[in-house]
Amino acid sequence: MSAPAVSLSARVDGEDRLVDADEGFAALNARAGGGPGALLATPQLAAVVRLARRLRIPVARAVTIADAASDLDCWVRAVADERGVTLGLAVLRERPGWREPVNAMPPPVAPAGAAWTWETDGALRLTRVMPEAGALAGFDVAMALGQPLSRVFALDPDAGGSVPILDAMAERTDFDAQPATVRESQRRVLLAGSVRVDVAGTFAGFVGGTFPAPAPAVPLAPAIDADERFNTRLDRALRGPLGRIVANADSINAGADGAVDPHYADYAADIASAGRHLLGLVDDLVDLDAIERDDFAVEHQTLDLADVARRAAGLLQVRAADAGVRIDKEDTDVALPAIGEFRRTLQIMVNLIGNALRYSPRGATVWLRLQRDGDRAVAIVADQGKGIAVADQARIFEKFERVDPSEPGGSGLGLYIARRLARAMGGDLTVDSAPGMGARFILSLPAA
Amino acid sequence: MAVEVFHEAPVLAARMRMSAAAHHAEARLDAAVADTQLDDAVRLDDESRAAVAAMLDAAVRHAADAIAAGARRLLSGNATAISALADVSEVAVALVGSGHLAERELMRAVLAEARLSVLEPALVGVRAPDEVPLLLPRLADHRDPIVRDRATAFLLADSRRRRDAAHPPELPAEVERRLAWLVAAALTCDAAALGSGVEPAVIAATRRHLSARNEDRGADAAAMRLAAALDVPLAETGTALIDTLVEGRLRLFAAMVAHVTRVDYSEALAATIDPDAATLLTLLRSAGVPRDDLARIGLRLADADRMRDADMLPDAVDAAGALTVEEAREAIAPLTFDRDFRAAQRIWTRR
Repeated sequence: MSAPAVSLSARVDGEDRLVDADEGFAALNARAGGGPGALLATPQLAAVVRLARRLRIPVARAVTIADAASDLDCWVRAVADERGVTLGLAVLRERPGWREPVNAMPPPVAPAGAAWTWETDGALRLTRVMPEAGALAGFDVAMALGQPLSRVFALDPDAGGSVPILDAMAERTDFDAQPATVRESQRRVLLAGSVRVDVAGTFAGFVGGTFPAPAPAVPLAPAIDADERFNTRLDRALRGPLGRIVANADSINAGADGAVDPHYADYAADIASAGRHLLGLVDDLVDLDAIERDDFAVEHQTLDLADVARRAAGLLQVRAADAGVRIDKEDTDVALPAIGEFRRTLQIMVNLIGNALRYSPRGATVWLRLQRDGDRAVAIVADQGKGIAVADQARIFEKFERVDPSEPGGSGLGLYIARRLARAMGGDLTVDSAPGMGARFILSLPAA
Repeated sequence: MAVEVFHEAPVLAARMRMSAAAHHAEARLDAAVADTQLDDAVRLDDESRAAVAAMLDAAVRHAADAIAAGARRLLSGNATAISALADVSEVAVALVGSGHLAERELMRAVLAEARLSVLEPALVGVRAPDEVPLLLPRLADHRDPIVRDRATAFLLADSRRRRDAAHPPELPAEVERRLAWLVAAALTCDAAALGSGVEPAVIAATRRHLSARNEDRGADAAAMRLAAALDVPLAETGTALIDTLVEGRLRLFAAMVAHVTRVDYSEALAATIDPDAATLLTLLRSAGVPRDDLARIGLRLADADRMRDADMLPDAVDAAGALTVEEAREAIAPLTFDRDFRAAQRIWTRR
């Protein structure tokens, strides 16, 4: 209640005549033209008394009494017994006589333009929720009804640090721009509400509306699992189309459907090459997706590292011939047992030899060296390229890093992935190089 | 042969305007005369009248929107036919003003909805300062899962009903059917002459609109199911009914009255919203509700309803309270008769 209520009381007999009154009531009644032993002078009070006597139940209601130049909003309670009626009167508020009485106030209306509306009682429990709200805001309306508003919304402070709905509740006023988050869907919204007060002017709830919140200035960090899903979708969405682009470009380049202008054949070759590069990138991203997952695991099987190196060299033989580079694989004739996953080890070796071929000048040699080093089985891929400065040697194992970003080809993911795989198998991948001296990539795995 | 006088065009137009004005003046006078003859006890208060107009408009618009949209889909590609469909807003205005809607059963349903829309918030408004509604939390957390489910279903349906002022009222199937066909005819009133294929499309759309209605989803049906699940013991009926009034859930109140007295829901609702409490109090008495609870229920409704006169209440309460339960049951027996029979009886007694 807004202010300490003034309490007045009186007693009337079986014929509704005033037999007793406290000072305040007697004065009020006298100002209205009444007195002891007479009927109550205020018609609304007389009506309540009459009703209580005849209904024989306590009658309580809000009445507004005109008292001199003021109107008094009162809560009246009349209790009848065999010999008369006892009247209690709480003056809730005194105000100038020209204002509308409180009990004639229209019911509150929900804020205009809301996406969906709701109502609460005085305890902020949701009494009504527009059923569409479930779909619009992403929560279960059925579970929300009858529950506290705060069960549905997490209320946030506004820019000024205050919580508008709580201020409005305390002051019995309307509010707007209450930031909130729908708990179930984590959707951000703004709430506005019109206050509902009861006959005594006490807070009795809000008739409210929900509005979409403006986009936050700082976007939330994307969730990690969303990223994973992104890579999976990328794979599905890109691999097929890219495959078709590459195949069509290849057939144009080869003149499969009839001769084409040599310029166009070259364009087609460029298209095919770019497509292959993108396909490689998709493969790398899918790999990245796999190895960065917490549950990533490799198999630990016995393999022959020399055999793996030989096979990798064989896979790249055509590219080596194209590049005019010789692969020296004499060392691969002697078996070198190691522990790891065959497929992953092959992937590492292909990556290392592929890099070596890419950076080797025409006529150069790429050496494959295999050796046992204590409890390690080691494969070394050495090239005669321009080498890697010491400063760059750590960087090349980072994600999306390349020795020379201006060089065509490569996603900058290959070495990062290769090292992650090697370490997952209990081994490592390191580099040893100096500018102008070529590079040596050293893969070590546990020896079998 | 009389000499024909041809007025100049401006004069003719002025005469026509004057004639129209005179016609309207007469109509207004008729309305004023009829109004003075109306007993204050039966005249709608302004709030209810505004609500009735809004509901009627909403009912027509809802049907017209649905049927026109359905017809447009069926006619897609046929621009001539679509343009022959009457404008929905014009249809609404024309139908409401035509007098064709002054049908007793339609008005009965619309009036009931309008009265509910006025009374329910008013009941909340007359709560005592320290009075806390307890029904809703109690039902939402009820230990019986069936009650919980049905309470939730009712709260949802009731929220749906109260979505906004322009929400179409829930109408009985037969009333809805007649209204839909009236709307369909109004939608095609311009198109008939064109023979553009509009009519079959509108007819198909109307059938579809009517078959899509689902009475089970309505707030009335949900309230009845909840009342059945609650199955309040007779001794607690009075208190439970007062709780529904504190919440301002008159449909649930009516459903509980119907459940406990075995009268049709529509009869219980009609008695609930009737400013004359005699029928409601007799119904409640037949369920064994004690006199003081009759007084409490009557007083709360009277305080919330501008159409009721609280000074008349004590006599009505005393009269109903003086009946034994058996006497009250006998008195309400006609209300338990078949609904259609009751409707026919009403027509017969009005002759």
